[in-house]
Amino acid sequence: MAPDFITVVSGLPRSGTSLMMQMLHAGGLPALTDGLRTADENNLRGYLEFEPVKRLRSDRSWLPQARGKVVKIIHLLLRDLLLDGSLRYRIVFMQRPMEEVIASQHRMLQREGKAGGDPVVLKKAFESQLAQLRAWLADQPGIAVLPLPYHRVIEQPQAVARELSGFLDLPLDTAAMALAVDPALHRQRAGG
Amino acid sequence: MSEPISEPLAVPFSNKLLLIGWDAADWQMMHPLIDSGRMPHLKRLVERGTIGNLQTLQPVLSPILWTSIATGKRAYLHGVHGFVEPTPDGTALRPTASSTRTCKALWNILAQSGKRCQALNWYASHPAENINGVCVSQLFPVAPASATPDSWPPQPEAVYPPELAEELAELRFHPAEVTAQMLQQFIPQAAQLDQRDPEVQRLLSSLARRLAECISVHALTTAVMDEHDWDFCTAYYDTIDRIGHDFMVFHPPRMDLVRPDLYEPLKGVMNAIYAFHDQMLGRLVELAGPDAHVMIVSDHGFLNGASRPAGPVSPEQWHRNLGMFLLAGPGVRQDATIPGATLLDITPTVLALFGLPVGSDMEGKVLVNAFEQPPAIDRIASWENVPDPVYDARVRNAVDDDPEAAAASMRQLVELGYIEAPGEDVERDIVRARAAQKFNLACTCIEGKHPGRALQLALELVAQFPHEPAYLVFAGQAALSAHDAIALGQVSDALQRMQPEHPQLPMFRAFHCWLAGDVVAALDNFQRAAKQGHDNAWLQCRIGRAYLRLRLWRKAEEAFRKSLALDKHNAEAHYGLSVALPRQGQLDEGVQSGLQAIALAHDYPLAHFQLGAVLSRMGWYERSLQAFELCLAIVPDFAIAHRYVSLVAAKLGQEERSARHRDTARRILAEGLPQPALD
Repeated sequence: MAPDFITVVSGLPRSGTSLMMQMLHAGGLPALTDGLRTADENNLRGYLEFEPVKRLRSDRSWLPQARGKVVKIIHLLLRDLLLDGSLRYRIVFMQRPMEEVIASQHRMLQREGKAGGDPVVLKKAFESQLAQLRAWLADQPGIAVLPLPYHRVIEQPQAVARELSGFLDLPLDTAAMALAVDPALHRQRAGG
Repeated sequence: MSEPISEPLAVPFSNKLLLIGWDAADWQMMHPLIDSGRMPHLKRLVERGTIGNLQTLQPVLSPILWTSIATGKRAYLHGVHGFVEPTPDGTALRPTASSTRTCKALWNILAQSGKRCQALNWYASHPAENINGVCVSQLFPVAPASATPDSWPPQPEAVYPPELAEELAELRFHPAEVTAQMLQQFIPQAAQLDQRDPEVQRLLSSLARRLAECISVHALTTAVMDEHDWDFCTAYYDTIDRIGHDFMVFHPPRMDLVRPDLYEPLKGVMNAIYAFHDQMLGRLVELAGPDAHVMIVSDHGFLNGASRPAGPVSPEQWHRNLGMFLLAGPGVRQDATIPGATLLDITPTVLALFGLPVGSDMEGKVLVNAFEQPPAIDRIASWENVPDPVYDARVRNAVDDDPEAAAASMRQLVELGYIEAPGEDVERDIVRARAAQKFNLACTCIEGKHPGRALQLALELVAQFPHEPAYLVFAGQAALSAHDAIALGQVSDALQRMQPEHPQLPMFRAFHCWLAGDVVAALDNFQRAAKQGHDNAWLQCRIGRAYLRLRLWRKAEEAFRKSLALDKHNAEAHYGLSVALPRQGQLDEGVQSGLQAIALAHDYPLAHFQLGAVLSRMGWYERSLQAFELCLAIVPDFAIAHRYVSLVAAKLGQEERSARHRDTARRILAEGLPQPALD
């Protein structure tokens, strides 16, 4: 039976959110995605995104569609979730060293011919946003959060898969989830 | 450095205090209603309490003012700079958040001191704060456009503790639930109104919405007071102000601009709103109980009668500079009035009522004259240094939001394709909101005696908006406050190039002359400005001050009297007379004028000084010393005041005191500390 909550994969862009979407999808959890953003050089296995998420601030009408599924919502939009008690959420929050995140973002933008922002300025802003988000999430009784370090997912995919299955209280296919993790795709370490 | 204070240091006057905020409540409106029997509950409190005017602060904007009331600090210390602010990620605007406040409010201080607190519906209080009691934010009563009476989810984070949110949400009253009969209480002749008229529709819709919000706040307040134990309860009602902005134009006497067909039906709305507040007050006082202290304050008054603007002005220009103060309860003087209270005095007075120390970083004073026996006043450097695990956790979590960094991160996320770009109109609104915050902060800095910072902020605005003369004018005013003749000259030149006929230019030229010491030329420019139609009480004070400098006492007196004819509550004009009259031999009249100036603006060092000088001339040495000491309490490094104290103390045979002040005056002059300019 499909869960009655929405599973949200969140974190900073390039913190491993697509990887986590792939794991959960492989484990048997349906993903809310429209397929508009297809696989590319930056995400060889695809993004598993849903375009209306970008407009969550102005339109939350689609959220009930996500019940029983997993959807990717970046960190900055979590506070715009519908919190009137009609929906419940379990959030898998990806963590990755900030330097790696920003370097990966810059690589992605460079491939698209765009310029990234000043890493020092971005680090300050992202850290500020994450600190505020942590404080806010701690005060949300209707939201359960599982923080997951990206490197742990890469290095211990089976253990992480079991942990996810327990957190979501779902009989996920943990073997398939572990297989969804390909360490070869982890290319952007800090300074590397 | 921390100050481990958690217990009251003095004997508390109060074990229970109800602090009611009535935005824009004005004694000028309420006294006639008390006299006519339409505010009986307020009348009883007036009879058993102390009342006074409450001097507002600049800029006269409610979120800034109410936060000053609740903290005892101006905006540059409390951090709330406007109605709205950009969200931390810089993508939208939101009502200024409680997390934006950078210092403790009364409910934080009292909660950490063990008091059970209720803080309800205050400005800049969302998200509701974790306090020892109940906190409900100002978004609680507001129905979004999408809400209906049957479908109105509770506003997230509006209630602390959150488990009360559902229960309290049931108390809210939706605008659609306001019936015609309810509106008739405020507009008995509503049937005369043409309901198809768009203006009538707008007014009735506004009235219904404001009434619904007011009923929600009152239902919330009475329920929380009744069902939860408390030592300090404070509730804020904005209805008098909000209704005033729509309906004060219809209040008698009829203004020329008001449509006759609307005047008759709507002329009683303002009085009815005040009477409605009196009814609510009766219930609040009843719930508080006979032993509780009750304090009512407003952040400013509201222009009424002949002082109302004759044409369209910005909303804040309707705000009169004197709000209301009332305190009743055990140990409070009965049927008394106090002069010289300001918004900044409320927090120190509440702390003293509870026997708690006042922070030296608070800019106001304890209103000791409100008490039969003044309370003992303890002081600490700052309540911000007193550890409080709950509040400190909030501060730790409230990381610094750098708007530029937030904007950069937002651009990055948009470029990466993870978030939709804010529309151009949103970006423009955010830019404008940031500018308004900077402008408001600069206004506060001017009033709070930080003119250098104000000038810097104003020049930043000029650089950001080089084609907007309003910012140049503001920069000129800031330069004037900073006594910066060079900056004033540059601003005047820029304004001259942009708008050669700008009405502010003669004023700036006059002040440029004034700062350069050319009083005659300054006076000439002031008079020219007055003749060009810019005459007002303030400008007549400039003319009067120029005549004082020229020692033309009779001319100065005329200017100050003209100023008072335009605004009888102008403290500076009374002060000017207190200088000009004694020079013409009218010592008693000079004293009376000085007392009037101080009654209107207690923190007016020159008025205290001048009063001391005249009293000493009259041989009233003890009272003279009191006046000088009050002056020195405001400006401790005022060398000539110390010299006067030294001379007067010598006449009284107080040699040690005399020597001490003489030495202090010498030290100050030797150190070259800045001195107030004397008239």
